[in-house]
Amino acid sequence: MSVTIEGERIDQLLRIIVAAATGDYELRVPLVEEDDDEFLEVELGVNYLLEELTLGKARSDGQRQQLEARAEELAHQQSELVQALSTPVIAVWPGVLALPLVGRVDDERAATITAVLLERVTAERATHVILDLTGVGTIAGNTMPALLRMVRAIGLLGASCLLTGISPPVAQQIVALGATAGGASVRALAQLSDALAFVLAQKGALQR
Amino acid sequence: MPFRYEELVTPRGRPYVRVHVSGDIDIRDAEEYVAKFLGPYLRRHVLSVVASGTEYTARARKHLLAMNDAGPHATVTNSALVRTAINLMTRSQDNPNYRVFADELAALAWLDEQEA
Repeated sequence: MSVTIEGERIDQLLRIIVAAATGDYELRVPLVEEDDDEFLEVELGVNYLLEELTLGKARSDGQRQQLEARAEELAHQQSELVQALSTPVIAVWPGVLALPLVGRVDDERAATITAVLLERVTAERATHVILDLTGVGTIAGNTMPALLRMVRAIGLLGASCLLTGISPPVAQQIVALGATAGGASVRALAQLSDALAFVLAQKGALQR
Repeated sequence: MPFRYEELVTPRGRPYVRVHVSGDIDIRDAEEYVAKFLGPYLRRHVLSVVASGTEYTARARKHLLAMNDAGPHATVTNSALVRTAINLMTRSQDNPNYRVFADELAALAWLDEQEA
């Protein structure tokens, strides 16, 4: 089979193939009825291929957008879950809140804890807050002052703050800052149960 | 509507469905077309006359390949572009029940020779 093709048709076809090779699938080979030869089938075939590529790209873009939206939704849910788990404020007695902290406390977490805790102290008219640090391994360098500021803020709301479960490294951090840093009077007890007994005794709720 | 159906009889008395095809054929049109020939017109002889300028979307082209199971089918067109499009669509099929013609009388004569 021998077909004579005008150079312009071949140039056009090559331009479109090169554009497609760089990701541009929008161009099409111009077709005319008068070009009634075997090369017309090649030109139309290229156009069909470009249509398939366009459809495939649209499908791929759609799936990518769906995945991105899903990932964003999961990240949001995870963030909410982490926030909820990182500040498990428990009302252990009317007017007594306990917050067992677990894991590493950095500035961001300290800020979240402070915001949640102060809101709960106000909402529940709490008189005592027990901050249990048993599960806290380390506190980031600048975070201890933030926690002590939180203790002061709790005091300003009319509640007393008790620290329990302080590990030796955390104790050293507190001492380094001064136990009453900035006027925050910190009362420490060994265990959460000790603090609860202390508070209930203060409230006259325990019969000895 | 890109399809217009007529029930006619060939010169030798064989009933067939003549379909005039024109315009842009999308997937819904293709589904309707295939449903006719795999449903009420199953195994009927078909003569489709495709007008110049008729175009098929990618999804329609793929769906029309399901017509492979239908009865003898002759397509008549004077358009080089339409004929080329049909050649491309049917290239991988190698269906002896399907042929493209430039002349309607030749197409009818071929249809008359085909067994149902």
